Amino acid sequence: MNFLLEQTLPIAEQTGVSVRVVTDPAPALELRYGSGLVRHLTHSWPDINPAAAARAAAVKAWSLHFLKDAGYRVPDFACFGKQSWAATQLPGRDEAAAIAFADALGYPVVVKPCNLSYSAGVHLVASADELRKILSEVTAQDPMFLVQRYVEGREYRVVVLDGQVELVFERSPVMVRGDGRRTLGALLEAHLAALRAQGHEAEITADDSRIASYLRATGRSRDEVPATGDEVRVSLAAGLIAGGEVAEAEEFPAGLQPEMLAIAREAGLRYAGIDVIVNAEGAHVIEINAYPGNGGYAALGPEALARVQGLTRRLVEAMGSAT
Amino acid sequence: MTHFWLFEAAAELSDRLDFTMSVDPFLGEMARLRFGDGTVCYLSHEAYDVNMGVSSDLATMPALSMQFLAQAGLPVPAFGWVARGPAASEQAACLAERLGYPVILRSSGRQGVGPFLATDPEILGDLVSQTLALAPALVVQRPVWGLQTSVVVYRGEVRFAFERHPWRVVGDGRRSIQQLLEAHRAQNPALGLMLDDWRIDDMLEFGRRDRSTVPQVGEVVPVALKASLAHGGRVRALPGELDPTLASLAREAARQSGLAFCAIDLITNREGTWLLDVQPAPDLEPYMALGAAARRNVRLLVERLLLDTQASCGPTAPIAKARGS
Repeated sequence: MNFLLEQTLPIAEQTGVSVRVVTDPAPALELRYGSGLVRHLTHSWPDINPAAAARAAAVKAWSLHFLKDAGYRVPDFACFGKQSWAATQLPGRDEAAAIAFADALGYPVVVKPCNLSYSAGVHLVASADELRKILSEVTAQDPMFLVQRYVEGREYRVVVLDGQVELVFERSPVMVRGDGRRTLGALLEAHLAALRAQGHEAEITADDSRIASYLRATGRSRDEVPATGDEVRVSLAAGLIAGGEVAEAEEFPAGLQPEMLAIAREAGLRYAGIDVIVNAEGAHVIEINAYPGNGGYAALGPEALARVQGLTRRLVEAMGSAT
Repeated sequence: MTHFWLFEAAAELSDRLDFTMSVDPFLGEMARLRFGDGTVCYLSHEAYDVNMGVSSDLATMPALSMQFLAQAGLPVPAFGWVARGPAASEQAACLAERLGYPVILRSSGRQGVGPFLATDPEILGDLVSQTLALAPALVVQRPVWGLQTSVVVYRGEVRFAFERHPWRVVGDGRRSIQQLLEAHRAQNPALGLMLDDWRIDDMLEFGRRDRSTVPQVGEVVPVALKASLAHGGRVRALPGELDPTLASLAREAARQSGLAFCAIDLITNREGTWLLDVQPAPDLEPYMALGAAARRNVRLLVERLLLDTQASCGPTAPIAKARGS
């Protein structure tokens, strides 16, 4: 049973919500409120968001398009598809069109499958040749993908529930620290092994193509030996499954919080995890999640866990309020 | 599957309900509605904002949803489930043996194929891999034959109902089943099921017939399992009022599914009524083809859905918009 379901069970019992549990073929809960309302939880998904808005958030091309159209700061992007699929679904928007778009945008560019999550298939790409190769890999997983302008800055997740900012944490991609002796490849393998030993969710391996493309895009090589103390970023994606880590967001500008609440409303979501890159220009929305997982943040320590437990309690209560 | 009828119905209401509708430029399957008071909501053929997202998704996963419905005491046909994995075929075969052939295989997930009828272990083995190609799990279910009724429920009320009939040919004592199929095809160019589709042969074999069989005058021969239009199915108006037992069962199934809006598919025979499926985003276009009254029912329903969505989503606060990057 995953983190949210484990958290929800005792809270539901304490608050008088009766629960039915199904464990196979996947864990799921049914919450039955005193009012007669029935709600469900599967995976790490609480039943709180309107269904169409949640579906819009699940497809990156849709959510980013509607947010950009509403005037929010979203890095320039366009949507394309695998040639055989695009022929019927997105005419004129195949791989060749994607490369032409990236050429016009300027490299490096970011490539993201539209329908996958957990940073799967997300690459930083440095050239048209590289893009051609990456697209054959990406489209094998998802026929629909985005090509997007690369924006640098610090990445945060802002978790919003019913008009309140509940959590803000910083997300960092895989970083290694040089010791003047080991290669980048060796440092990376040691880093990922240490993460897993600590119980981290990382599923990425040192030979993952996302790491290889990031190193090429940033002019790095697995064989180079970073100097002692040098911090080297080795991947684009900051998701936990992709080896990313989270930390308390001590420097997130408080002035951005109203904008985050407005973004959730614009997306039609009561509960949302908004992933933003913050730099001197402001907050750039890179993704909005209708079902943000907070387990990685809760693992930071007792205070973080208490915040997530409080949020879970409010989620259980909010699910019981009919919309 | 696209439900253009939904966007058309919404567009017709935009002036009266004071909203603008913007459809995504990529696939044309997701629309954003912005009401005059600033409320934003979304509309798609796959999901409705009056339903909650997880309950809506769960309804597309019968391996989970049927367990909850059975626990709630609703009459679902005997079933079991199998997750994708190396032992899936073996587990499905065990379930089928326990239930007895033939069995129905259904995908459990948003993307899937089927349902399929498996009449023996060999066919079942082939169908398991197909059924699990896109879905993480499948349901093996005892088939129930009878009259299919779709009941559209909104917020605890039955809005309308209609009969659904899978494709069947009626014998004239002269032509073979193959000739009857070809005649149907000639009259229905939109038929998606190919005439040489193996599923037709499986259905015929189950009825101890083949394509060369000449049915007697008036003999009804089922040739498809699904009642969809693409599979040659038809929708018919109810001959009278909806049976109160069916209405009550549909309302309870919707409530137990946690859905404000859905179509409940029921099947009735001499032994009783069973719950076949819960559709959180039903395609109502075939029903609308029944005539002006049906179109009016759908238009009123969509209007109610949009008004309630606006009320539940609330006005969007004034936004200090950022400059686009």
